[in-house]
Formats: sequence, C-alpha cells, structure tokens
Amino acid sequence: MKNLKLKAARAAKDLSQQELADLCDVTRQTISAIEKGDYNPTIKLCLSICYALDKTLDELFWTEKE
Amino acid sequence: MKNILTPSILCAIIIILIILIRKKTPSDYDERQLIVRNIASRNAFLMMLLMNIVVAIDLFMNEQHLPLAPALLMASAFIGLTYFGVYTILKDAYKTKETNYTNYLPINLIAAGANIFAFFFAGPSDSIYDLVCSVRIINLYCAITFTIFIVVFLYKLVQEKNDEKS
Repeated sequence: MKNLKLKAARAAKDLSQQELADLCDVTRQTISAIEKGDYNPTIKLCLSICYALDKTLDELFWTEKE
Repeated sequence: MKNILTPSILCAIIIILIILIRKKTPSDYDERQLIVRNIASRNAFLMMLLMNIVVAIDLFMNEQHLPLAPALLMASAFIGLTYFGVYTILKDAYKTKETNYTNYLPINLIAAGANIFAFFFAGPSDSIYDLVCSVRIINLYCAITFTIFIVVFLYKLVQEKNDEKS
C-alpha cells in the first residue's frame, strides 16, 4: 500500500527523496520503496523520518484497521 | 610447490590490503539493503549447493564428464556469485550510500578484459576443450561474471537517470 502521507509531508517540506534520504542516513531507493509501499521500515527508520519531517508516527504511518 | 606459493601470498596480501583499506562496516548499507543482501546471499548459497549436487550426480552417472569436473564445479560457484551480484544491483543493495555505480564500472571493465586475455593467451593450448578443462576456465568465468555486472550496472545507471527526470 502506497504511503501517500509520507510523500505529501516530504513535498510540503520541499524535500527531494535524496535530501530526505540524506537526513535519515539511508539511500534514495529506500525512501522511494517506502513511499511506493514496497518496503516496511523499522521503527527506528520511521522515527528518523518523522524527526526529519517534523511529524509524528501517527501522522505518517498510522492506518485504520480494515 | 613454489609455483603455488607466490600467487597464494600475492592473493593473501591483496585481500588483507582490501580489508584494511575499505574497513567495511554494516552501517555502510541501510536496513533495507542489509535485508536484500541477506536474501541474496542465502539464495546464492542454496543455488550453489543444489548445483553442486546436480554436478556430483552427473559426474557419478557419466564418467566421460570427469575431465570437465573442475569446470562444472566452478560454474556452480560463479553462478551463485553472479546471482548475488545481479540481485543486489537490481534491488539497489550493491553500492553503499556513498558510492556510485560509475565507481565500479572501470574496475569491472579492467577485470573482465584481463580475464578474457588470460583465458585465451596466458599459455599454449591445443583446443578450446583443453582450455575449458584447465584451470584457465576460472578466467573465463570471471570474465563472464564481470561482463554481466557491467551490463546490469549500465541498466541501473539508465534507470536512475530516468528516475531523476521523473
């Protein structure tokens, strides 16, 4: 499932995938994979992304139970 | 014995130098890359094991294949290695955060060229069959492996350029 909230938050901060990747100390491809829903990050990386985008875990990664 | 000792010492020195220079730590790869590399190495190892079993059965059943035994056994190792390389390159887990595919291209090109040269011209041989049965088959396998890596590197470079545009 695509993570559109992450993509929107990144765009709102005017950051490219590469810039966000550099802030989180991962590769651009990892950020791309998270946004596409191809990779489920660990809680450590989730927090790192949240800190970089000034968002909470809920705001970026929470999804309602289907 | 002396013939084996010199190249062995040279290989050992090169390996130690590479380890000392690069000092690779797990943090060079991010968490997704480490997972991909784990999957790739597990699959490559399993593939190598299965191919070794198949080769062993083949050699047991067909005695006329015995001169090809080193070539067949080495093939399984190189196929495993090639699988690992191609899988990690395609899944973006080959290069570290700091490196680029262009860093790997020249050294792969030189290695492929040197191995092709060594396979065909490193010494006298009566036929291709003799070459395949000799230890020089390793040079051919190296050349093929590095050439495959070069092709996949180029494919990834084109893909990355397209990603940057979009």
